[in-house]
Amino acid sequence: MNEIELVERAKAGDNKAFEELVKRTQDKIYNLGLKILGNREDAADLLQETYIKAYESLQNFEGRSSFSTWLYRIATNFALMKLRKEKYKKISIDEIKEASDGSYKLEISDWSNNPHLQYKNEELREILNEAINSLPPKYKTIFILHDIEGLSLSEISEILSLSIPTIKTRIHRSRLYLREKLSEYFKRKGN
Amino acid sequence: MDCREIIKLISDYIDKEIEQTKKEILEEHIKICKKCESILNTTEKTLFLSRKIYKNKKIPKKIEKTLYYQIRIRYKK
Repeated sequence: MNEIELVERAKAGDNKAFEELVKRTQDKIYNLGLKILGNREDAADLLQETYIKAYESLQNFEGRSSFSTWLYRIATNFALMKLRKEKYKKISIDEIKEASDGSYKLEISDWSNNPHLQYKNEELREILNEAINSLPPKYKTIFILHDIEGLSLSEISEILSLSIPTIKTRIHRSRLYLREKLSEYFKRKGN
Repeated sequence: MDCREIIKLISDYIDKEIEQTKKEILEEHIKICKKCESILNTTEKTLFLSRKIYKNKKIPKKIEKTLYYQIRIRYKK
């Protein structure tokens, strides 16, 4: 049975159909939670809250987007709320703007062939992970959706109700900021 | 186009969201500009590494069980 049929049945009160929709999408939602929130407990919360909300507001789902896009929307809203309460130190929007415009002196050494550049390098992973976690919530969410999960710009635009140029700007700034953090690491390592 | 403008195009270039003429300008530019070339290369590597640090995991059984429990207690009788 396809997604549209399952949604129709679920809306008509068929709980088995709803559970089938959950089964088909739960791994995606759980992993999105893990990636954005960074730990199992929060990912489990996000998972539960997303499906409870979906169940309770199923009648409002009009099918203008796909069911999974709609779920992503509920899940990212929850993640954003959670991230904003987080104590993890975030960089300011100004800092991230600086890293991508000309006023900032970009680190230009080319470390793309540096021998320390291996994903098994724990120190490097740690630095990158920390840098991603320090992105302001509205940047981090988009970065994960686009660059990690591989969602298209138009899908993200539907999920977050943002214009494509806004999404592009945030992706670009996040990337250059993260690149800068890695550049600093390689500089310390003596490139 | 100067370096500042080229750098602004880097993400569109990586995502293949760039117009043909701008793409050509960028490609010509990085042939002669080490700085922009290295920014492009290192940005691509940053993305490559970022993808490597996240792995998809299966939902732990306990979390899955709680999820279905939480949904089922809400079913309308």
